[in-house]
Amino acid sequence: MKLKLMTLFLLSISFANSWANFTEEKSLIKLSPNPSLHLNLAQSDDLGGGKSHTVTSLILPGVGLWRVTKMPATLVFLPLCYGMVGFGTINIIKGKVEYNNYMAEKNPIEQGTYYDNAIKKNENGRRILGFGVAFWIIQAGWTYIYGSYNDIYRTRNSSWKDKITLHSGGYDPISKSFSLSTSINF
Amino acid sequence: MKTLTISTSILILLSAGFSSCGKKYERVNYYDPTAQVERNYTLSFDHIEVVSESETANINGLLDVTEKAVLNIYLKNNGPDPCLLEYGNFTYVANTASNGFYIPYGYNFTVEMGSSDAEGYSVQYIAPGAIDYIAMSVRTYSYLDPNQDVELDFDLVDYDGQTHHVDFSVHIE
Repeated sequence: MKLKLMTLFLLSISFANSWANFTEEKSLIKLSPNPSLHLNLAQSDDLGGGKSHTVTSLILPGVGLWRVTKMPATLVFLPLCYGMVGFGTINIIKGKVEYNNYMAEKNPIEQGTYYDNAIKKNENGRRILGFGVAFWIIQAGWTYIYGSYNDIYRTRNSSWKDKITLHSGGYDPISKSFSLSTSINF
Repeated sequence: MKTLTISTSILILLSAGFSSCGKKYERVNYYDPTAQVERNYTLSFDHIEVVSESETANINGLLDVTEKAVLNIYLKNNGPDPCLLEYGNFTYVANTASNGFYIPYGYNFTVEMGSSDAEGYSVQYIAPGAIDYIAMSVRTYSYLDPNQDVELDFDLVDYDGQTHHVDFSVHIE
């Protein structure tokens, strides 16, 4: 139980931090490092995939989220979700088998053993399966939200590019002057 | 922090919701003494078998004077559900003090069915349509008058709380 809570806590912190960084307004202009500062419009490649990757996340948990956030750590959802759902399902099936044994048993002592096993495996299975499905849905929801923001930023960038064209720009450290050549369409 | 709280809350709510779904098993095995089920059946007396120390089984219910024997009292479950007997109470036993017929049981005895040895554990059920017996040790003394029927009545109480009355007699040769 403690391990589950710790895992849940770490995952939540990780995604809360990434979410906080992501929701900050994305700059349309990037500054390249010294000595020559050059300005470039952010390209669509800098953004992850769109909300259409939600489908990917529903089939392969974490993969869609990785495509939209470009965070490889999100791939942990793939074994996590499949593992929890699979392990939970196996436990539920084992619980069903134990319950069938209980129903067919006439020895009171064996009945008690089978019934206790059935209840234990069924409850554990449903708990693990519940966490797995919850992770599955949440990561798909995150994929949709990240992807939606990516779509919005991509559309905005595209829209800005139609109106503002940045031809060239830069900072000359020798003359200590800054030059920028742009054109704006009205 | 807000996002952390929301994410954690959603995760807990979703997992709790999914965990509460699904079938929860209950004790409904009709052969389970602790099952909360109502069993429907009728019980009827079938016959008595006398197994004495000196002779082989006597299916006519005959008992000699001055003898130690076991009475196998056969009962039939007419179904449709299995019968689970918990204990029995003698309601009438012939005057053992004076007539020399003795049953070493109290007025409240635990019921064990005849197939216990074969099963390897205490069997307290009779399957629907099956006939099984309750074994009772008896002893007769020399002052018991021969050529008489000794009557015995007892009640069997099942795990559903129902009482089944059984009365029979043993003929003394």
